[in-house]
Amino acid sequence: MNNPSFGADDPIETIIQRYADLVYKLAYAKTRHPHDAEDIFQEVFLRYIQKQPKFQSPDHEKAWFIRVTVNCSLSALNSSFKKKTQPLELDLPAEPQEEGVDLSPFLDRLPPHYRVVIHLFYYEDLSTAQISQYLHVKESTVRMRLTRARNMLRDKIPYDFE
Amino acid sequence: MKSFKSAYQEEFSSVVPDGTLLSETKRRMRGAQNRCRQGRRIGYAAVAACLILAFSGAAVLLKDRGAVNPQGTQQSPNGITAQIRTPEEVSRPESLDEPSESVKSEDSQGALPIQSDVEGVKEGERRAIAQSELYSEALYASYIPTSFLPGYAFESASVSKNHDLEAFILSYTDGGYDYIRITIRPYIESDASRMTAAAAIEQYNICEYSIPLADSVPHELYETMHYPIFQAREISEDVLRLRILAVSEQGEDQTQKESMSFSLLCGDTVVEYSIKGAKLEPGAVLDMIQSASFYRS
Repeated sequence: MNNPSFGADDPIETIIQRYADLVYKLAYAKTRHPHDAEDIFQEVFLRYIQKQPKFQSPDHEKAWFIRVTVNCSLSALNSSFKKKTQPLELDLPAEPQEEGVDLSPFLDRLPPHYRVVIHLFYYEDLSTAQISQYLHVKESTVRMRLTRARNMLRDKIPYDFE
Repeated sequence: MKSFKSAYQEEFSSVVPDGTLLSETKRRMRGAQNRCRQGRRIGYAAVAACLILAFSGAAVLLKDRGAVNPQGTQQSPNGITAQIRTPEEVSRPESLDEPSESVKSEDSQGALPIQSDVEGVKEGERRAIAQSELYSEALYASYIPTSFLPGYAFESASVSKNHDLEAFILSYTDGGYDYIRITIRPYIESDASRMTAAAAIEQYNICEYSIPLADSVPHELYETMHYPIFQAREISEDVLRLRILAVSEQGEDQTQKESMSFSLLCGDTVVEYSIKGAKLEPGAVLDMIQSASFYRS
């Protein structure tokens, strides 16, 4: 992997190419709002330029982006406006459609910290140990969040979670 | 049964940052990078100036203390011979050539050069002003507060000119992310749409709107809600209170902050304020504004 810290031609272009998807998708997974995800996206990359962190390895670099994205997302969710809003209650199971079930309304209902774990586990293919390391929480906490998120979804959507 | 993993990955395959977001982010990153470089240049210049002063002082002291032989060396009482250089020589010590060159090369890449003349600036240039010189600026001194909010200290001041508009920019910070920024410039035609009467609360009461403001502030109030200009005589604690916006500090510093921005028309001069802090007291902000000599005349 090409590391901009070690002499790429255009560090900004390289770092954006490498982490744009991860940061945006994770911010969206956490906030479920495209405008918030865009604000967080810009904030994360500006922090990268302003702080100019020195990384010991590509893994360390990735951990920094995940950690800062989650922190920036927390700030967006903590705004007074967001606190006043609640997702719609969806008590009925989803109607199966030919092409599958639209996951969005069910993901909307999950608590944001469950959504982060779900995203890192199912989309970024990270192990619970890695997620625990990146989020600075115990591995047992990660496993518990995964289990509870799956339980919340399992009753509503007909998918295999293993 | 379909796996949740594949359904989830399918769901997120279309969640991607669009081209506008990417280009805007790159643009802002390059801007931030240039500001960091400019900050470093100012740091180099300050260190260089200190070293030059120290060398000059030492040379003058040595000259005063002892005779200098024709070879430019001085014999100290313990027998050590020191090379004496004139202040002109000292002003260009070899050790400073490297940072000076780097400043030069970065300036040639488009950054604003810092001018040392005190008679205004040319288009596209910037003149740095020391804290001790703030109130010597004939055009701007009367609008600069003489007392600032507690906890903030002088960071920088400069005069620059862009598109024929000269502006004085003053920055105070708490050493972290809190700041007071004051811009003083002449009134221009396009300011007319920003003029707001203190009585027209609905035009500038930003407390009514939620973040992101882009979504909540009606289009017709955009100018006065984001950038109101009040007549200086109309500014009051009540007006300032309606300009306070609660902001969550992003990233690692998870704290709640307050910010406010507004401008004041003082004759034909506009003074723009942008302030951020943990808790902004309208009374304290008003005292700061009115500590400028303009309000005492």
